[in-house]
Amino acid sequence: MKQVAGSISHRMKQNKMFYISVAPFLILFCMFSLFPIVASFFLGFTKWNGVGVPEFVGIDNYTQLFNDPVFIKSIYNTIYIWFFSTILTLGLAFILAYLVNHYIHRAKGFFRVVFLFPLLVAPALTAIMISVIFSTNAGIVNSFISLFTDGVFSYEWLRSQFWIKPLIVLIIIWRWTGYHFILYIAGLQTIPSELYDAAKIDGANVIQTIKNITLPLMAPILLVSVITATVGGIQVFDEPYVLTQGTGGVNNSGISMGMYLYQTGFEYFNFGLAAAQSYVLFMLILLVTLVNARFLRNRT
Amino acid sequence: MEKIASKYISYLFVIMLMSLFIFPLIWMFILSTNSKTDIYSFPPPLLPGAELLTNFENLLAQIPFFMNLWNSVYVATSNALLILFVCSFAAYGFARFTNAPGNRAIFLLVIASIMVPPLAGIIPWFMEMKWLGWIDTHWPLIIPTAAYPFGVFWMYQYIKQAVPDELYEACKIDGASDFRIYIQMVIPLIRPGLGALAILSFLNSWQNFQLPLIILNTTEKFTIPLALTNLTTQSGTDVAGIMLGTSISVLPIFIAFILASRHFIEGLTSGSVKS
Repeated sequence: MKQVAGSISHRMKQNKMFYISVAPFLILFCMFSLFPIVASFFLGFTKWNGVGVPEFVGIDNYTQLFNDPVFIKSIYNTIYIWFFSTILTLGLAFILAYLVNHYIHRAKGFFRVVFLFPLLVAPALTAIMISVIFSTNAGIVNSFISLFTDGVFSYEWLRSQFWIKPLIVLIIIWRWTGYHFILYIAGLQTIPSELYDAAKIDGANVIQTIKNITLPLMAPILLVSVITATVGGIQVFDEPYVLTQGTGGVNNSGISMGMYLYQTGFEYFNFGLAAAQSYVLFMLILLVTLVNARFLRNRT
Repeated sequence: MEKIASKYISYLFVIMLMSLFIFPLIWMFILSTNSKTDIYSFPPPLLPGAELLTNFENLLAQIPFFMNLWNSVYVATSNALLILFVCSFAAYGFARFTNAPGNRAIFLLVIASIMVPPLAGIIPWFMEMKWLGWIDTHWPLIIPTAAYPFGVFWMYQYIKQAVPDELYEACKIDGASDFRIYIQMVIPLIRPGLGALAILSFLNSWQNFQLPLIILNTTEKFTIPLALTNLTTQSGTDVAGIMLGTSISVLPIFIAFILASRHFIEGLTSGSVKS
């Protein structure tokens, strides 16, 4: 039977190779990404320890979570870590990119490479390094402060309920500034210099030029950079886990949502509750990303 | 005058910041050459010591370091190779067969999933691994992550830019099959793009901590980040050993990075700058 040219089945047959080429990806993707995320949604309404049949409990997991002070704390900590690390990393990266692009003519390539070095160390290993630098008795930070105090300064940074979050933020800044710096350098180079010349003739100062020329033209890159930082920042796990040696810190002062999810799922085997937690995390990322996208779009 | 002043202030600021950024790395190397007691003395050592070999012996006494290093090499390499094939093959399909029913819809799904956090599905994912009998094996670190949506997006952009549509027609007229076109024409043209993706996937896999932590139980099967962090929880933390292990594990990556930094930086930037 002859098929009508242009009918869907005809076009599918003509493009058989398309389905073959995307098949390996789609099969793996559906099995290991799509299915788990959909299944997680349903698992969030059940009580299950991984053996036997999950028991349906409705929204009990969610009510339990929002009455759990540790969970509330983990949300607070995660937002704290995400917010400060994003603002500081992106701000620092922008200042750095602007200076290197406009004022530094020698060794540009060298600076681009050096600031990427931290990206090469695994976050878990970076966390070990920071915990050595800030350790109580042998830490270089305490030793340095000791130079200015009477006697030996031996502050317990890693046991401090206040400082544990800034330390996590510090690791993220150290690791990611170079990455965003590279993105911004590339973005700055696409802005034609005539625009800056025109601004100069109009008598605009540096702040005005950045606000009216640089930032609007960089908006798409800023969006990519904010979204990357958000999706990564809200899932933060390695840094708090290693820094607190898996405990979450004194009084859970350093626990992140990702870490609490790990504890619930893989230490207490409360799979239904952990799945519900993972969906709160998912929703939070979705919410923040949508707000970011809208905010950055409105500005341009 | 003002311009020169701002130039010098910029240099000063950038160099100061750079020193802060590389200090931890340098100190890591320094600590790995000092003895345990020197590290805990006051003030801590700021110059290289002579205990490199002793530290190395101590490290080897505590963990099967070479085994862990090998696990990381083999897991990260296989994962990266698999990503290169799966992602570039899919991207070839998306880029070339634009008329195929479903092309746009599936591509949108891929793009959207770049923003979906993997943690959201971690519990069912773990149960799948259990069901497949993959707990305490390296398979979960190699196979599932091969479907890397960013990799598809990245290769798609690269193919669109590096392979003009007319080339497909020319090959087709010469009688080449679609698969041969992919292997013999597309792959050579997108080699730089593949290189950047290879570095990125290798790094991701090499640095992964959470999945190995969930999946692996046997010390002999640990990858490097897991093996070294595990040392901190044991009694009497061996800081020198951990720093030495970390140094050894990042050294090859540093060398590779410095050699390939141009490709790497192009890879990082062109993906997001063009989108």
